[in-house]
Amino acid sequence: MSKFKRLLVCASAAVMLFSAAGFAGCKRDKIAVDPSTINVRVFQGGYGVDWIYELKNKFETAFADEGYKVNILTPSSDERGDIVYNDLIAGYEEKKIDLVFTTDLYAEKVAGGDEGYLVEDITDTVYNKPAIDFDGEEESVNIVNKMKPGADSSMIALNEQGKERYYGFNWVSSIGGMVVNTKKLSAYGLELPKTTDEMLDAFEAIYLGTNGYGNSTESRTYPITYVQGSNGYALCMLNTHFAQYTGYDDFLTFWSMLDENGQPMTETGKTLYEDQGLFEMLNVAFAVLDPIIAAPGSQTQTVGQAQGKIMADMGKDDAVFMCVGDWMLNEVRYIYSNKLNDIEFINFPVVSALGTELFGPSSGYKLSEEAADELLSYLVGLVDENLDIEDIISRTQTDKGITLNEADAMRVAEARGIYFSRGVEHLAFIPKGSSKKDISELFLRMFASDDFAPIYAQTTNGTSPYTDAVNTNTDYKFVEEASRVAVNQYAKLITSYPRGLRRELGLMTMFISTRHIPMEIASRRISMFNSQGQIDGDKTRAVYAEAANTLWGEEKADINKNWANWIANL
Amino acid sequence: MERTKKKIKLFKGYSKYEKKDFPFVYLLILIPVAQFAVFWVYVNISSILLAFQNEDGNWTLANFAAVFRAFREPDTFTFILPQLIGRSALLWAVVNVVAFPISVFTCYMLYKYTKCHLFFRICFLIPGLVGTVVWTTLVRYMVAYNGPVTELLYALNLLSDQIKHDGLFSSATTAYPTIIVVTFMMSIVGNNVVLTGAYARIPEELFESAQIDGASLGREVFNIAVPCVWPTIATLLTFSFCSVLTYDNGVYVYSMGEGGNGMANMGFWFQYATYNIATMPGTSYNYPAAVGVFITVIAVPIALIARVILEKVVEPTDF
Repeated sequence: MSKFKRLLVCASAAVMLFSAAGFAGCKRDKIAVDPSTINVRVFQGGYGVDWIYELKNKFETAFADEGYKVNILTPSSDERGDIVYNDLIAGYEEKKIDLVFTTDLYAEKVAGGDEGYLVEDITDTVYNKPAIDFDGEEESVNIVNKMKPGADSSMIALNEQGKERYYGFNWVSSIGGMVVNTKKLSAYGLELPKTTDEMLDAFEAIYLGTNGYGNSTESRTYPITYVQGSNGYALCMLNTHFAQYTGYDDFLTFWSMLDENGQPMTETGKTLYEDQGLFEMLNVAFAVLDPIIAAPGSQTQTVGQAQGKIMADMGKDDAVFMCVGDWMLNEVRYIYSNKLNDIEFINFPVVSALGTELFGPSSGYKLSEEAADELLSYLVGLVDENLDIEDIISRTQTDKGITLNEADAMRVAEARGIYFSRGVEHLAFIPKGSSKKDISELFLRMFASDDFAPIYAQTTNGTSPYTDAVNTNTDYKFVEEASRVAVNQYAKLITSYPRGLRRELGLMTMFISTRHIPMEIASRRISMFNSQGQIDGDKTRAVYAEAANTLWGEEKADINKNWANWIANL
Repeated sequence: MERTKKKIKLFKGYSKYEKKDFPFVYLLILIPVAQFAVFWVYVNISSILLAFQNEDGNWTLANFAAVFRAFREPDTFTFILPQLIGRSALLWAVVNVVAFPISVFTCYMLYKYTKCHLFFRICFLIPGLVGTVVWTTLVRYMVAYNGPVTELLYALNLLSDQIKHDGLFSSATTAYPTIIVVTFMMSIVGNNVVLTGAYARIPEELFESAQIDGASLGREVFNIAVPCVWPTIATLLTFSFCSVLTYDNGVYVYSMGEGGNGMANMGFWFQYATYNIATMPGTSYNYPAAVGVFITVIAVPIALIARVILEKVVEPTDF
């Protein structure tokens, strides 16, 4: 080969090699090595990262005398899950990261998991200490007492002594609920529903037509739309309704299969599927996820298309309701910037079967089913106003002439307070061995302060997990109402994270006989309506109850058939 | 007869001058060879070994027991394997038994009798160049509830209100048939570049003498053109037999990762399993690896037998 050819070949190879390296994005963050500066990695997601820069400024100002600084490395949407896990395995000596705000990584995995303890125990240094305000002063309440029940489910792991300790720090309060286009709802003369019966009545009114609007096939506006496939949006609704009916503690037992002493329910675990709450959950789900009343295309569309149907004007094969989270506003704010106040966020309406059980014909109150639902709706409204139980009882007596039992009032308050949290997946960790962990801990304590909560709300359109204040300093009703759910005094967080025996058995989903309940429900095409915008013959909502019973029965049969085998294979 | 010992000489036939270039050349191909070694050899060996291990790395045949169980009842991912294999095989048959012969004929007609056939070759090449996501998004739009194909079929009273409401991918009745039709249409002009290249090598004199002898179009195609390009056809078909049980064509993207409404086939299954294991704690790649080995054990003999038969079907024609 001639020298010239050889040179040409080498040059070509060098160009290709370096251009490949260039595409790899060789920009490197600078790691600070001085003992007063912490290196922080942060996940870039729907809530953005402006909040951490704001917090950094406040922190550095408050601790200017000590010279503490925060070096925020380039935020990335890759800073999650296994990527962060692998960095933690690599260790502090190699990575020099003092604090990481991430998602999709639970404390159990990084503390006492397969790789041992990769992160610091922050129980006594963060949670059992007060938050720190922007003046560097401690608040009066420990951080652990600022959290809502259930918020710590993902942060806790067992230490070497088998005691529960905090290893993660929750940095987002994120709610799975419903978005409602209130502009369209008002056009139909309807109000935001507080119970599932009210919600289904609204669906019926929209689908059959009311207030001068024809049925959905004429008006081309439909009650509901959803995202296709096995997404989590509708699962939030299922879990919330189940928890509302069965109660918070029994819900946790269902997802852990551990008894009240924390022991695995190897003999009785299968009986958890006898819970009436599962039927009530399915009964509502079949009605809500009725494919006939869903906007056209709902079964095959993406989340963007579904959200587009909510934001669209009437008459465009659009919809009024959708199961989604409080992050939706951030996702649509640039595309639909002039319509953001057409939508509101609500927690899932309380399952009406609870009202029937507590106040219905076979209860001590002996109300009719309609009256029971009306009372339930009224009480839900009082809970939303964040009234204390005594005030709720007093107002009920005054307005309704009904003497409410405190236990029943608490039951309704708990049901309304329950919300499905996607935020628990968002955790911050201090890598094990960090030489500056005390600074990182101060940074986390300032995050949890009352001073930071409004800044966090302003920059993320979300809610800090450590505040009791409704976000009224926002231009958007959606954001305000979402924060109202999160800070309610009765708020209790639920997730569908399997624990205990359930996890050991590998029963990772709610039902085992079907991969994804909403998909299964949609595929069965149960409806009391026809596709011409009318009720199908003389059908009633009983068709949904019948279908719910069938699916529930199939699941119970599957559990009973396989339970002994699963336990034997443990 | 004197037996001469033949020495096998490395680099035999190269001059001293040329041999000086060998280190340089080896350096140049080092990276692609390393890539092949890591991303093909190692990955495949590792995949095969995974099939015989459990998640702790201990040797076991339990994964194959799970494979056989998946032929009777839903597996970990709630799919029944024979159904999926059947769908893949059906799609394969549509492409290779129905569409491929048509494509052999259409490519010949395009090459021989169509003016500006180069323009059409480029047009038919474009779907292969356009990314899968773009192409599948286009198809999804066309068969959505308000897409032109759905609207047309509904106007012709070929669709129920139920299917019209959510589009062709929303119902088990129409979802997989839609995949089959789309795949068929794309396959009719598939392999255009390869076949046209093969036709171009046939001496024109063969066709001229056929015309003089009064040969019809059919004889021209099936007695002259096809035998001349048979090695190419046989090669294409042999390769296709390797995927007879796993043929896919983008079901994972068409179904947005769900495989619902009867769309799931084996190609989809592998992608679905890989993605779910990567994101679901407490699961491992051992079972899918075992399915892969199982499918390979069946598909390899099929491909080899097919190759032998294809080589014997038509006598090779030299020209």
